Amino acid sequence: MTYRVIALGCQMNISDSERVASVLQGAGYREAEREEDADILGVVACSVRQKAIDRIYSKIHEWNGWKAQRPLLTFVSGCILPEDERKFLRLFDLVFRIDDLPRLPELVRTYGVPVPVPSGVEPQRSVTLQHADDFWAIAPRYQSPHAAYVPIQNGCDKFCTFCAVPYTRGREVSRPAADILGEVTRLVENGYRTITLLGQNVNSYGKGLGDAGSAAGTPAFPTFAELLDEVGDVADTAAHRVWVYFTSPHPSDMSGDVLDAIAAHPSLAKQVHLPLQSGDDRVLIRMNRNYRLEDYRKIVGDIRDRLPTATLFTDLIVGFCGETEEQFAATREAMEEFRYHMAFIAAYSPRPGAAGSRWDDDVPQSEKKRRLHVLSEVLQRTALAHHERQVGATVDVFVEAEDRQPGLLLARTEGRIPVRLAGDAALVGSIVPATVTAARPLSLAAELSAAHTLAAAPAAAG
Amino acid sequence: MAQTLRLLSRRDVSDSAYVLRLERGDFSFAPGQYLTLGEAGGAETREYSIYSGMQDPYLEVLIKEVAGGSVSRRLRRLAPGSELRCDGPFGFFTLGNGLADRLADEHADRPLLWVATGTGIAPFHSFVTSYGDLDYLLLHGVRAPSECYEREAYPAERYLACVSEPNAAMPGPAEHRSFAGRVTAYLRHHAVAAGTRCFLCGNSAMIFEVFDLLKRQGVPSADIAAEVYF
Repeated sequence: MTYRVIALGCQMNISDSERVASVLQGAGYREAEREEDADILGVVACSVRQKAIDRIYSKIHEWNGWKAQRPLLTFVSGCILPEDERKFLRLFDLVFRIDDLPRLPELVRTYGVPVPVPSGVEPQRSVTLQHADDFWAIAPRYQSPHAAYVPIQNGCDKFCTFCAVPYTRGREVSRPAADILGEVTRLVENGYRTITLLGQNVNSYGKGLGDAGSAAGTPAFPTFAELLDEVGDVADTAAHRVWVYFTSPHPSDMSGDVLDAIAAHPSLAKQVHLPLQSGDDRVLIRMNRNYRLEDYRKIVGDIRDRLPTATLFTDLIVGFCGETEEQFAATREAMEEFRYHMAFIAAYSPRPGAAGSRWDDDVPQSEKKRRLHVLSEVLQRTALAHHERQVGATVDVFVEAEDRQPGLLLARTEGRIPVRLAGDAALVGSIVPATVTAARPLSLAAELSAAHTLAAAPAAAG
Repeated sequence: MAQTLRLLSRRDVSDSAYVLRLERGDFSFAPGQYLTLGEAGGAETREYSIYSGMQDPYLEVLIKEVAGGSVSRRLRRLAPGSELRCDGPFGFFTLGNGLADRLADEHADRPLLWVATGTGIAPFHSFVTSYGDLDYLLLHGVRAPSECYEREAYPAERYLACVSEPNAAMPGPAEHRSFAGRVTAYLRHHAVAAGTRCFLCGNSAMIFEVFDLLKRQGVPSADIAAEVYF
């Protein structure tokens, strides 16, 4: 029996899909090369975004069409809103919350193709929340041999009014630190070069849990800064260079301790993603973001003081319900002030389930596009200024993949700035020095340093 | 965490607003936080600020039945003993956490201004029920006196109804003062004293207006905590 799992969504969905693959593999199923060859087809998706929803429907209609020709079991999991769950039950054979992943083999056996369901037994096609610990215990089947995502937390308690995550993934649950450190240690030992700690609000990790579950004086849930410190201790002592990232933190939980931990460990990458969302206090209130621009400004000041080489990324939403021209202008000014290296800018669209979906989506689409365009221009300008200062410098880059253009490689600096450079494919997965030759608005061009211009093997690289 | 709690009772506090009292279970919260509530087995839930006090052996929420609203209508029709799905607590609008906490901790001796519209009075009711001695003035924006939900819970000198409906008479004891006009009109004529910590809860139109007004009066935005109802 074979399976194929696809992820439609963010890094969290990709990370979830790695665990789904691991569970199916553990149950004796093999991964199929193509969807067309699989006996079990699953999608780990985000029902928070309309675009992802459209793709889920497109996939399941295609898959259900194949059922006339051959036995096929389909499932969906990930971030699913309750109303979508009911719709999906009409289209997919199995629908389950990602926390219930450990029960997937049981569901497949009960309902699936391999073992027929005894007559009179109603198959349980949708299961309810079990124990998050069982989910964390699943060793993922990583998609990359060089770069890994490590979830440290699931769910969200912040209830930002533009976001439906609390309704799709439930309450914020922190993963025990010992599990996280175990996974990070294994990744480091297996030669991984980048590790990204994942969560909806990573820096509220362990918040309110105190010494819960502590044994022998070691808290099961330290603070996020303490966790970073421990992860840094592991990664600093690796036999090769490792860059550890985390995403996304929430400004209201961003403490100086976190920045100090990043500063103290060479392996903790000097890059901070700090979602601003809006530069106007009234919009922040309406978004239920629990910080003011002044609070955010102070954090950025701390980042620039304590981590002078760090790159700063952000998330922004334009055209949120009721956003006036004046309020948008405050966001534009904030962007100019904070001089981001990268910003993920979205035009607001109502997320079913989120509180904001009950308000008027009253900024016209054309105006949202215009505002998005204005902010994109600011970003390109501020990022280019940062990049121009890098020209001529030699920086370490992590080679992620080969470019579509033969002979070129795609890499990223420690600060996660994309870099294109000529080089041998054997360098993929290594961290190598490169000299920046040109600056572009959102990327850099570079040349490998002399020692790596010949077909250097990754073992020889950093 | 999510749990199923039984409905103990309902008391109507106006034609359209009511208080649901639920068993407490092991639900702990800080005054000012909210919970999500829906029928057990139902898919829909809504967020409601907790109305009761920290020490009360039960949980209470203040709900206004919304025309066309599905959850608020169904909850009102539930019989005592019905099971409700409850999750929480959530939120930062407290005197002991987040932004509001910072205001509380750093300057505990400063006066408090609380501004509510309609059922936005719920977290302030929880503050008053939970904490004994607070130096506050509560401005309650209502359309009509009937929306002054359980105003006897507040000392007369600390509760001021701002009644927006013209010519609305204020029934009840004479010591209960009222102001004819919106909370914003009151604040325009009564500038906030320096050092006051301000907490706003209710509809976003009021919060935006009051926020701007307070800023113009020199209140730093860091001294304004807000909870938007939707």
